[in-house]
Amino acid sequence: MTLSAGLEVARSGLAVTAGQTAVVSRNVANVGNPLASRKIANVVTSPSGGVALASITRVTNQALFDNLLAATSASNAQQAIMAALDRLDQTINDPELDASPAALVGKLADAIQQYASGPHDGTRAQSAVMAASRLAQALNSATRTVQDVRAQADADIANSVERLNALLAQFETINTEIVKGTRAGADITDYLDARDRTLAAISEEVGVRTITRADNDMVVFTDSGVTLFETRARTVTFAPTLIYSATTVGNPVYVDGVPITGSGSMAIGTGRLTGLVSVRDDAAVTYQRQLDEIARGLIEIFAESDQSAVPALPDATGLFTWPGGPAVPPAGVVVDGLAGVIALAASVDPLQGGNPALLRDGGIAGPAYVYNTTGAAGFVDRLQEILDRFAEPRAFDPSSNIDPLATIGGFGAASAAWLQEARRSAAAEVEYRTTLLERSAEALSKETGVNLDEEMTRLLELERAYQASSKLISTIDTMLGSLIAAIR
Amino acid sequence: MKTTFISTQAISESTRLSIAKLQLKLAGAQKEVVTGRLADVGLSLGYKTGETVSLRQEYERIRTMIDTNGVVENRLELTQAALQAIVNAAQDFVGDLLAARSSDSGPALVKRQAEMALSGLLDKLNTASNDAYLFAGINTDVRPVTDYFQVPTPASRQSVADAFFTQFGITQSDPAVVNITAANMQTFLDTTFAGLFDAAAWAANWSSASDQNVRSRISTFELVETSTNANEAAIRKLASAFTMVADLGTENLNQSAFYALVDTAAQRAGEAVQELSVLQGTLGTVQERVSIAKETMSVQVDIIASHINLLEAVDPAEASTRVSTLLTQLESAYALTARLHQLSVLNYL
Amino acid sequence: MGLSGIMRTSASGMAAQANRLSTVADNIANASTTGYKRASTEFSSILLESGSEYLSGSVKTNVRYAISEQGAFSFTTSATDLAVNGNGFFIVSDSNQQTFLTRAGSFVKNGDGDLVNAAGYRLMGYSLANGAPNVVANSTAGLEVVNIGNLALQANPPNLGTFFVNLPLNAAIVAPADLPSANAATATYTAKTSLVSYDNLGNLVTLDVYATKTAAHTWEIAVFNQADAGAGGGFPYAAAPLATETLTFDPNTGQLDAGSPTGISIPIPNGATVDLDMSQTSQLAADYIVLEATMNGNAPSQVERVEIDDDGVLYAVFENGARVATYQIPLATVASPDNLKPLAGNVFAPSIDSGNVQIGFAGQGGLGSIVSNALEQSTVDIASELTTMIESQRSYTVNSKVFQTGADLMDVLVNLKR
Repeated sequence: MTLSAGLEVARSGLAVTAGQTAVVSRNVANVGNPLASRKIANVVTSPSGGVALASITRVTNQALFDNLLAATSASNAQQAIMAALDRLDQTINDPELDASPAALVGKLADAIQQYASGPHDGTRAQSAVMAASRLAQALNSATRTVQDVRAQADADIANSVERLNALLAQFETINTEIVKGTRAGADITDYLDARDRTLAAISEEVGVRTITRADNDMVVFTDSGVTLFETRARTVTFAPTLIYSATTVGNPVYVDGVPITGSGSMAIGTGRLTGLVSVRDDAAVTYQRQLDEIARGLIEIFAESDQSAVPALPDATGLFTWPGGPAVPPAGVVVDGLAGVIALAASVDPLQGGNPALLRDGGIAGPAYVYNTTGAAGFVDRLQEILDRFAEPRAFDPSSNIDPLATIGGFGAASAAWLQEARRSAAAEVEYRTTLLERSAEALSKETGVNLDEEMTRLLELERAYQASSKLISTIDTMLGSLIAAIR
Repeated sequence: MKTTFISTQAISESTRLSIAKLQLKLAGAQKEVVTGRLADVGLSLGYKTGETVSLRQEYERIRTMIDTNGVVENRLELTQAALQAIVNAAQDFVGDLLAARSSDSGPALVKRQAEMALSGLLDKLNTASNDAYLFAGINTDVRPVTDYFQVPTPASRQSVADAFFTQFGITQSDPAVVNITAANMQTFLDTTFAGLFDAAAWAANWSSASDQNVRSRISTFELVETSTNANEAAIRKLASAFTMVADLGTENLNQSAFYALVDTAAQRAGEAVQELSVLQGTLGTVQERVSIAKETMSVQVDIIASHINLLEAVDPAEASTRVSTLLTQLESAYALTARLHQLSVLNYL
Repeated sequence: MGLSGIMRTSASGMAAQANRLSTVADNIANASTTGYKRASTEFSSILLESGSEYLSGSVKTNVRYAISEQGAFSFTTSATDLAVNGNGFFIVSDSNQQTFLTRAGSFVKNGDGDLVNAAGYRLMGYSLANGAPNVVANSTAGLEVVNIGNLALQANPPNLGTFFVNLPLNAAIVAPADLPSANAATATYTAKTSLVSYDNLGNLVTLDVYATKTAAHTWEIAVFNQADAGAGGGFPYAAAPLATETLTFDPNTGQLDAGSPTGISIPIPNGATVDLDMSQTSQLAADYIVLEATMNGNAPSQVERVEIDDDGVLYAVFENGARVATYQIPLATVASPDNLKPLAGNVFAPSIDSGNVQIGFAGQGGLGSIVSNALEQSTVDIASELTTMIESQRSYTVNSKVFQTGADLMDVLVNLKR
């Protein structure tokens, strides 16, 4: 070994230490960055004794990362459902407030009972009709809320799809860099981190499954196996529907030409998209059916029959009516969107110049339907009939997902129970999924994240190495200096 | 190579997350302490929400029923009082009739008494409560009977006058009534005059009331008649007894005809008193049922209220303990966070 | 002839030391020249035949070059900075197409796209455009100047692929009329995956691969060109499937039946036929899971940079990350490297003493390996040069003293005559 060689080795030592310091400072800079992995500078000794930075690698744990992706997808699906159910809960609120359709049905029955106890009393008639009007309005506004929730879910799906496309495009750029870098042996650790982050973001929208091919080339599939990314990003398409009515059916989301929502063989199982679609096509639709069935039950309860000696006319709508009136909707079958259009008959509603006493006398549908033929002010048979109908079980459409044979109040209560149970189980699921996500993130961070203290002690070590190399250089310089001084 | 088993991120994240969770729980627990009810009833009860919604419906319904039963009770009491007054008047009248039989000044006196009794009866029948006539059946907004002695002559009085004139060819005030024989009088009373008080004639000339009584729902499945009406046979009989003494020229009748009249009136009034008692008894039974229903329902209301409470309420002691536990936890989490953040190798470099 | 002999001898000694100082000067001057090999001087004595009288002779200088001495590496950031770790030499040519050997590997791309080192010599290599090079061991025939300027766009149509999936055992069976291969609007399928491939001109061709269960343990694989897809990306396609195949599975193992085809040949429109290997495909009671999906080939793209691996293969790295081997850089050696004739520009020419040039590739027979991103440093050690300089200075002074003594004695002799 010569002095020159010594100088060269010391110089390579300086260069490597500088490189390692750069890696340490990258680590320190990323200490607060979730999903940033710890970078490691790999140093090799060269044949002549010097050292060189061979490569920079990162700490990774594929199994933990896959867990994180799965947990992210699952928790996002549940959060989307939970948010929508919370909005639907506005239609029920605290039972104490008696704001739910079920409570208002009860209040209407009570108002009619009051009316029956004083049938001559116009004020009681008015109060009964007002209770009916509040109920109709509550059903109308609940329908609006439900359809708003669906429209919002649809808009969220559109946003989610847009984000997914952007993320996939980003993924393509990063993946190409990674493939190039891997082939060139360049430092791709930051790109790998970026790809992990992008993948985590994608997994928020849709559940994913990945395989890694040669050269770190990643292929991404949905959890149902539809290609999202393979060399090129596949397009995700969705045609949004801007306005929702109860009969509107939303469009499915397509990836690579395959529908990934709905009941197809390649429907995805997790991710925000799943949650949003399940809200739009499932939870909200079922709840709307329940509201529609409450509305249909009300129309049935107040329907009037022909009172002629020989009845010839069909039953007709009474206090509550709908655009299909005066015909009564077919029994036991849901009429989609009925809750949104149920209204008070103008001939009874005092606000529309009607006569509330028709509630007692009948005849809302026409002269043939008058029950109180003598016009007696104390006539209660009609009111008692209505009260009987409130108390008797009636048939509801089984597609409303609750007990198909119930009193109208019981059906309303069961609807509230259905919604709250859905909320409760969604909340429990959200809590579980979120905890799982936190644990996965923590485990991954523990395994691959940066520890500031470790980096700082590493920095100390590097500082010493740098000092030693510098000292070596100055010593060799001194040695050469003394040699030169020897020349006279 | 990685030499540590935890990252700085993981250390701070875990305390941060637990603080956030604790704060969320604290908000809920605070609300529970203040209100004594679950913070989010629907979320905590799940499918049991249906139960509280049903119970609250039931609660309101029974409260309404108790309320409306109050109205029914009030009406029944007023009706009973009126009926009792009518019965008393009828019994007094029978006594008066017996006294008049053995007194010379009887006919004139008893006629006046009968007139007053008749007015009294009609007045009682027109008793109204809360804008509704008690004896009108379901025709609650129409005065059941008209005053017999008002001017112009009402249909009731006219029909009596017409029947009398048709039978005897003279008016009641004609002194010639003295010539009416007891047998003739008896025949008139049993046939034509009685016909004036049968249901059809009564409805046509006397009463605007409906035969149909008001029915009320006194509990969920109990629908009962909670009124009587002016068309009851007892009322008609009593009215006929009062009318025959008051308006058949009683003061001018000969002795035997007077006796026939008075005897028939006494008999009719006696029958009426009996039938009225039956009517009173029926109404009394209804009253009894209403009060039993009321009692039952008050108990039900209490049970339901306690049931709702059971579902929705939280134990205040438990809730406040939870709040203080959470506060302690939160404080230690804060302390821990501060300590952890002070703990860094940077301080020693 | 004593005295004059003394003066002549010491003059030759001074000349020898001057030679030695010259090599020191050269060495120090080239202490930082890449690939420079240290020069040294060796002396041999010339003694005259003498009887009783001693006749001083003189000294002869031989200049030696330590050409075979390995220099230390200094690492750089340029991929075309090359060093040899071993005995080999790069073959370079000057503008007259005359070839030389060198260890100075700091090549850069010049205006013509040739790789030129600091002294202006161009790197020679074998083109791999027509497959493996034909190397003549003792001749430079077949070598050409390595030119990375003309690595034009290159498309590379795929011909091999792998596609291993798990097909869900419990999927519903699809009626024959609705199979994807029938290409009807009502077509249904169990699963679909798309793969990217390229035609001869490098156009992107996305293949839609449909897997459909047709009967128990029997699956139809149908491949369509996605460009033909109907509105909304589905059936019916404008053209019939590119290829269909029926796979059958062993009901006991869930693996492909012995008699089943193990792959599918897909004729890419205007492209090669891709043999898609499906031999590891299984049919188990799990979801549709893609286990492996690869396809060789690449789209046309610009050369982004070049890379040289340790056996001297020069790869063109395209923008899409594909690497194509374009040249192989040979290494040469001679029997006696130290006897090579050094020429200006750190190049060496074979001489009679050195023996003939032997050409081979890195890693063969002691030629060593090629290290990219590194340069071989000069073998000069300043300290030893300085000591040599001091030593030679002293020798020179002593020689001059001898000369002076001779001259003084000659003076004495001349004064005798007076």
